[in-house]
Formats: sequence, C-alpha cells, structure tokens
Amino acid sequence: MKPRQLKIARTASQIVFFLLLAALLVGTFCSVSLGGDYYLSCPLGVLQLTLGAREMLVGAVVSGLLLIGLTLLLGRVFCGWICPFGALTDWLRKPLARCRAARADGPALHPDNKVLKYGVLGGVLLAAGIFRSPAFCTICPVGTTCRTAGLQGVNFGLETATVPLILSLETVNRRFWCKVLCPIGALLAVFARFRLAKIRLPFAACAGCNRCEQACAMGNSPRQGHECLKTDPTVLQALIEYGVPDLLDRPGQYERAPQPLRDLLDAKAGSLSVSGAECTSCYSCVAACPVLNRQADKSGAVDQSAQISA
Amino acid sequence: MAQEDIRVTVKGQVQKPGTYAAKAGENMLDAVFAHAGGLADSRFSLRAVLVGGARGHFAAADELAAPLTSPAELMVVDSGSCLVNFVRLLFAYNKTVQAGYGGCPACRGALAAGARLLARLCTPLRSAADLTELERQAGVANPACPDQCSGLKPLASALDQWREEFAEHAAGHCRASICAELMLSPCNNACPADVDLPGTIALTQLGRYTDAVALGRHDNPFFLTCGHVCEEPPCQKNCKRLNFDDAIYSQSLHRYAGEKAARAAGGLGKALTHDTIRPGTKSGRKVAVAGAGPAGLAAAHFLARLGHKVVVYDRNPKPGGMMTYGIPAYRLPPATVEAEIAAIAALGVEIRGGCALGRNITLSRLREEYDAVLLALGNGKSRSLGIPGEDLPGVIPALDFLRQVADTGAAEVGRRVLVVGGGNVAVDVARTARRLGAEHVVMMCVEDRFEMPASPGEIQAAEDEGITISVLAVPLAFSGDGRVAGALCTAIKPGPYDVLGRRWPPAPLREAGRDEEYDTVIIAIGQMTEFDGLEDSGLACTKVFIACPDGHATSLPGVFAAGDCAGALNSVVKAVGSGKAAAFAIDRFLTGAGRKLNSPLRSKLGCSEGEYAWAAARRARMPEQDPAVRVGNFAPVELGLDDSRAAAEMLRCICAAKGGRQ
Ligand SMILES: Cc1cc2nc3c(=O)[nH]c(=O)nc-3n(C[C@H](O)[C@H](O)[C@H](O)COP(=O)(O)OP(=O)(O)OC[C@H]3O[C@@H](n4cnc5c(N)ncnc54)[C@H](O)[C@@H]3O)c2cc1C
Ligand code: SF4
Ligand code: SF4
Repeated sequence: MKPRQLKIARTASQIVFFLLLAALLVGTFCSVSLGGDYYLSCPLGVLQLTLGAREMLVGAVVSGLLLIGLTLLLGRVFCGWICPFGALTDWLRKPLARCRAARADGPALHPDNKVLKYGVLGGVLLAAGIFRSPAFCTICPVGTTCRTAGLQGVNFGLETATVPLILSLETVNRRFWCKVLCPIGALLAVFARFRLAKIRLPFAACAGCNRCEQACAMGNSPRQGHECLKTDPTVLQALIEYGVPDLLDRPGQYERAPQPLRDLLDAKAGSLSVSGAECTSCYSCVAACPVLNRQADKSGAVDQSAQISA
Repeated sequence: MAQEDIRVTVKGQVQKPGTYAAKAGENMLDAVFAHAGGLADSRFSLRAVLVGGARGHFAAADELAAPLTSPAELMVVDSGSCLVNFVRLLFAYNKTVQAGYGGCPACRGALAAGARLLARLCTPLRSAADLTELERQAGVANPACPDQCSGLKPLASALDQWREEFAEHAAGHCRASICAELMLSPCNNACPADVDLPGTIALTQLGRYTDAVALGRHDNPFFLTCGHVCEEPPCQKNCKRLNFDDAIYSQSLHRYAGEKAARAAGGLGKALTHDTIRPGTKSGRKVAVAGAGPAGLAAAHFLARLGHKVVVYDRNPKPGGMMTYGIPAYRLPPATVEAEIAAIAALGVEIRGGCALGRNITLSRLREEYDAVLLALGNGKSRSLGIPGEDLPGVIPALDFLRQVADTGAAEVGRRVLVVGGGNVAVDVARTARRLGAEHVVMMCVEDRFEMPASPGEIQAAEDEGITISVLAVPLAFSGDGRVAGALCTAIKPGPYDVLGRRWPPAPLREAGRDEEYDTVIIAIGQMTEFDGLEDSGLACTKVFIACPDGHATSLPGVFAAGDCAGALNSVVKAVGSGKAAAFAIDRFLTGAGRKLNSPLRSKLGCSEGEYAWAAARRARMPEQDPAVRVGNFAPVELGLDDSRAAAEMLRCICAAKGGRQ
C-alpha cells in the first residue's frame, strides 16, 4: 500500500471503531460482546478485575488475550487504529497544537518521558488490588470516551469531564496521554516489542532528514536504525575497506557508492526495523520519508506535479 | 615498475581511488592531488590524511610534504567530514571488529571508553568534561602492549592537530554540519550569521514575507544583500537535499522573500521595519566602530539592539565598505545595500562618513571617549605584483578601479584590458571593464583552469561575456611611454602542491616570454589591511591582520576587531558573522553578562511544515540577462526567481529542522 492509502485506511479504521465503540453502543470497548460467552475485552480491565476479585476467570483472561495477541502480531495497532481516545487526539491535533504554540515554553513534565506510564500501570494494578475494584476504569479516558459519547453518556455526569481534561494535556505535546501516561498503552508496549510484522525504513539510503522523527506523534525515533547501521561491525568493516568510514553521514555518498557496497548496506539495513514498544503502527514515518517516497517516484507511482521545468 | 617506485594506495574522498607507483621524491600530496586526481568533490578542501588504515595516524603537515619513503595506505578526508565523527567510527571499529587485534588491557579499556566518549561528543549529551577524559584516554600508552596500543593512534594524532574541532563539539558545535543532533539544521549550523533558513523558507511558503525577512535579518542584518552576493554559500555544503540532487538554492530564496516583502509593504524600506527588530533598553554605554563595512555595521546593529549607543566612523563618504565600493552594481543593486544600512541607522546607530581613523581621529581618542572600540577596517588595500612598470599610469589596483566606477559610474579603460588575478575580484574587474566598453579583456592567472579560486559560476559568466582567460601565466613587466601600452607575459611552471591543493610558488619560464598589447592593466591579486595611523597605537598585529588571540579581543583592553581585518574572510556573510560575534563579545565586556537576542519567529517553523517535492526536482535555474545585452549595462545580471520557480525550489527542502513545529 502506498503511504497515502495507508493514511486513508487508518483514518477510516479510526472512524469505524469510534462509531462502533463510542457512538453506536454495540458495547463499550471495555468489553465488546462477540456473541455467546466471548468478549473482546480491554486487557487492563481484565487484569484489574482479576486482581480485584483475587481469582482468575478463564473466560475473561481469554478475552483480554485477544488484544495482546493482536499486539504481538502487529504491534500497538490498538493505539493507532482502534482506540477512540487516540482517534480524538489525532483529530483534534491541529487546534490543540495552536494552543500549544501560544503557551509559554517549558512544560513541567518532560513531554517525551517514556517510562512514566509503566509506573502508572503499576499504580493502577496496585489500586485494583487494594480497592478490590477496577478503580482506574472510572477515570480511564478511553473507557470514558466510549461510555459518555453515546446515548448512555447522560448517565455519567462528572465522568464526562475526564475526556476534555486529559485532552487538554495535548497542549503540552501531541499524544501526551498515550506517550507518557496511558497504562493500557504501557501494558501493550510490553508485548509490542516482540511484534512479528515490523516497520522498515530505508536506513542505508537515509538522508538523515529527521522527517520521520518529526512525523511520529509517539516521540519514537524511527531513524534510530540508521544510527545502528553506522556502527554495525560488518558495515564498518566494509566502509573502512572502501575508505569512507562516514559514508552514511555524508549526503549523497550512498548514491555514489559501488553497487556491491550498496547491496551490503541494503542487506544490513533490511534486518533493522523501527522499534516496537512506542510504535502505534500509524505509518506516519513511512509516509514522511522522502527516500521511500522517492523510490516510489522512480517507478512512476508518485505524482509529478512538483517537477520543475527549468 | 622502476626500482625506486613506491606503492601508495589512495582511498576515500578522491577522484580516482587506487594504488599508484609514486616516483622517488614525490610526497603524499602528490599522491592525493596528482595521482589520485585530487578531491572527489570540488566544494571541499583537504582536511586530513589517515595513514595506515583504522589503526594508523593522521599525517601532520610536514609529513604530507615530506618525500615518501615506504609504501603507504592513505585514506583521504575532506572538509565535508566531521573529524570527531570520523574518529568515533574508527574507534567503534577498532573496539569490536579488528580481527587479530589483541592489544593490552589498558588500550582495550581506553578504546571502549574513548568510543563511548566520542559518541557522546556527537550528541547533545556532550560536555567539556568528556573532552578532558577523552584526552586522558588518548594518552594511554603501554610499551609492553603487543600492538603498541595502535588502536588509539587515530585519536591521539587527531587531538594533536585538531583539538579545536573536538573542543567545539564539547561546546555543542559541529563545523562540518554532520553531527545532526547538535544543530537546528545543517544549513543553519553552517551559515556564519546563523540564519534560521528553514524558518525563513517556511514563512515565505506561508506568504508571510515581511516576517520571513525579519527572521532573516534577526540574525543577519544584510540578509537581502546576502541574497544577491552569497557565493558558494556555506549553508549549501552539507544540505540534506544533496542526497537526491543538489542543495537548496538558499540565497535566491532570501532575495525572493525580500522582493515579495517589498511589493507587499510598498517599498523596501518599509519591508525592513519589523516589531521584532528594535533598539534595546538603553544601557548608557557607548561603543565606537571604525569601518562601516558589513562587519562594522552588523556589529552596530546587534549592539544597538542590546541597548548600547553606537557611532560608526568611516573614511569613505558612503557606508557599506566593499558592498558599496567593491561589489559591482550588476551583481548587487545599490538600493538593496542602502535600504539595509538605513534600517541599521533606524535603530539609532550614528554613521559618520569621511572620518578616517588615524587621520581625522586617533585610536587613543576613541578609547577615551567610548567604553569600547571595534575595529572593522576591512582589507582595503590591493596587493601589488612588485614588477617593473607597475607604477605606470594605466596600471591600476583593482579596488581603486572598482571604487572609481562605483563613485562615477565610468572609467577610461581603452580597448584592450589585462586583468591580473584568478579570483572573484578579478572576475568582477574584468566584467566591469567589459561593461565600460573594453572589447578585448584578458584575465591572466597562475592557476590552471580547475584550480582558479574564482567560483565556477562566475568564471562561466565571464566567459559568456566574451572575456578570455589565460591560465598558467604571469606578467613579468609592463612597458609604455608615459602610459602603459604593453605587458611582457610568460607561461609558468606550477610549484609543489600545498595542503589546499594549490601549486605554489609558481616559477615563470622566462625564456617563453611574449609581448602583448594593452591599454589598461588592472591588478587583482588580493587585498590586505591598511594599518596607516595604527602603527603607534600599541595594537599588536600579525604580518597582515590585527591580532585577536582571544576571539575578537585585541591586545588592547576594550578594543576589539572583526571582519576582513581580523583574518581573511572574503565574504559578506562571514564578515557579518564575525561582526555579530564581536558585538556579543563587546556586550559581555561591557555588562559582564552573556546576553542573547531572541526573536519570537526563531526556531518555530521548519520546512517540514508543508509538503515537499517528492519528485526528484532539479535545483531552480536563475533567469539571467542575455550576455550580449548585459555587457552593455550595469543592471542586475540575475533576474531573480519567479513565483513558480521559487515555490518549486522551496518544496525541495526535505529537512525537518529540529525546531520545526510538531
Ligand atoms: C570586488 C569584490 C567583490 C566581492 N564580492 C563578494 C561577493 O560576491 N560575495 C561575498 O560574500 N563577498 C564578496 N566580497 C568580499 C566582501 O565584500 C568582504 O569580505 C567584506 O566586505 C568584508 O567586510 P568588512 O566589514 O570586514 O570590510 P570592508 O567591507 O572592506 O569594510 C571596511 C570599511 O572600513 C573602512 N575603513 C578602512 N580603514 C579605515 C580607517 N582607517 N578609518 C575609518 N574607516 C576605515 C573602509 O572605508 C570600509 O568602509 C567581495 C570583495 C571585493 C573586493
Ligand atoms: S524520514 Fe527517511 S530519510 Fe528521513 S530520517 Fe527518517 S528514515 Fe531517514
Ligand atoms: S546568509 Fe548566505 S550562508 Fe547564510 S543562509 Fe543565507 S545564503 Fe546561506
């Protein structure tokens, strides 16, 4: 799929799930009935319930595992393609970013803190154990979005306030909640590291333009693979043999390298991928990478409207 | 292969890597520049030669020039590489890969520590302590080591020769614009005036032309002047777009923004007035600046914005230095310079023309009357050849000639003109002479075509205008009766290569002399600083420049120097950068605080804001006046980009600058 199609597919998926979970009341995400005894459940909800009830309900555990399985396969697609709160933050990004630009700089919390959410996860589980109930669920912005946006919403009164409150964190940084605080994301991140389907960027030809990092709302650094490639022992050996150890740092030099060297670099780059724990599989980096899109362009796949007639 | 031939392998940034048989007496520079065909990329100069592979050492200047005695393997590094990063990669290799490298525990430990420290120096984690520790590790030596601790050699020899580049990294600056983590964008990093190029491009794309110009002028008060005269701009050397085709045509975009802003605001003067560039709150301190060239005026601009009272003295009636009296009008419209100088004066800077330091006012007087003095005297004197007949009427120094043309718009040159010199000034002189009606203009230089210091674009433009270039030749004497009428010229034999790839000194082949007829001869072989009136001021000078051992401060307390007179910068933007740095040094001297100037526009937007051209679009071509027409006028040769070309050019920027909005 081409980057633009991927983007359309993702937005479509977010809309469908938003309507399903938040508006049409097929259920809430917390536990969607799949018919009979089978549910598609929020794994964090299941964990809290299990801890709260101090017993394992096999049905619930299996339900929670469905999402974990999906994460092991595709990474945190839940966060990028399904989660209605995540969709909200994506859709409201532009107006919220404008508020951010107006704010004085220097957010109190480091906007890219990636460890804190594991602490939150621990806290949530502890609370569930102590209070013997899924306490977090009452303020969970994901659940609240589902529960309060639809027809039932009226019943929930104060709870409705959670969503705008947490949304306002977006003025600190995009996807602030997801990146820094969300315990569901933290739980999925544990498994996303081992995802089977990986995202790859053209690290050998990487221009070091930083567009991918800028495109990534999760504060991931997709181009880290390029850094890894530079100091890969086989690569270094070949580059020093060739006489240009810093070839991967110098603009345009990969293009001029002899074919066997390029093949070696490409092969090494092919074994590296974008790190999984933070990645929500939104493919923004893939869409942003000029190298990838230029390669698409060589085969005539990308529009040529910007060509200069000089 | 003859007995005495020595095998040298040359790798890296050269035209023709390979193994060559060097003759007896040839040195490493011959191997690089003669055998291997010189540097691969003409935009860069030779930076370092690593001898003996990853565990070898960087050759020092004397080793490069000494005859080769044994076979060698040379890895050539050009100025496009960052040496810190280069050594970092060698260390990463030596640490893990090097098969069969045993080393001793001491050097293996130093390699591991060094690799870690070098990696830190290439990122924002760097600190001055890293460098100290790195130097300590580089000094590790163990005579008993089976490998003589050879893995550490590249670092030790690099630190010996280029410690300042390591120190710059420790302070967060990478001069080659390679260590991307340390900078906003490579272009911003490389611009001597620190222009936020991605920001100005983004603002121009958004149609906020006056803001774009204000952001440019926040860092470079001669932003629009640079839009015309920045030649081979530093910002384009490691532009990310070079990955695909060619660097962004940055200076043409400065100019485009300026032209759009002037049209939108109804006049260039109005377009330069902006809220973000204002005089600072009054400090009560007074600074005198001697020399109203780009360096002096840029310093005045920043000092005024920092709140100091500035008076600029210049011996010429009009301010601007070489921008007014040197660079010809067909390359830089005088109106642009005048508008930018007026904008500086509008900050409260007083400019006193016709007042020469040393003649009308002394340095000691300025030191008494002002809290600090900045000397920005430029290189106002043309060098002379020192050959017979040079004092004949009709033999004119380049700067005198250009100045006369700038003042009066005319000069009597006759039909045949000889211009001695191969640099950009010589090209300016030749093209000016052509415009004054000379039919036969010859530029004569000691370099060969590919070695000429003038930029290739300028040489091309000169040839388009019918100027003849005579390479590898010098005049030996001028002759004439009361006025120059001819020159005795001869071919030369180039000298040995120096580290910059120049062959110096040339040896004239006297027997091959030939007489050539000329009506005018113009000498454009370089400029130097005039010290007239400064001799007994107590100021320490090197042979050609004012000595600034410590940044911009001279040997006299409270006296600073910037621009061409403090070191050969030879470009407006470098003079601006130097004047700017001097202004902040003076401010620190006056207030004791390291203040900065901020602009709300700065580092806010990147080119990533908008779309970019996915298609491999070529760099925009500058529309020019037809050569046949332009030799008859002094109107700008370059016509400026039109809307569609500028739009396409801006789309070519792929770099997502760090400061860009997320
Ligand atoms: C012909 C020519 C073409 C050039 N073309 C380009 C170009 O295309 N692009 C580019 O980037 N650079 C170009 N340069 C180089 C550039 O102009 C200079 O590097 C730059 O102007 C140096 O700035 P400065 O302020 O140090 O000195 P200057 O511009 O030389 O200014 C020095 C000022 O000090 C004054 N002064 C000197 N002595 C005294 C004294 N005793 N008392 C009072 N005032 C004094 C002088 O009158 C002058 O106004 C060119 C230079 C020349 C000569
Ligand atoms: S977007 Fe592509 S070229 Fe740019 S830094 Fe990322 S991987 Fe490299
Ligand atoms: S002033 Fe010159 S060097 Fe600086 S950004 Fe502009 S064109 Fe580049």
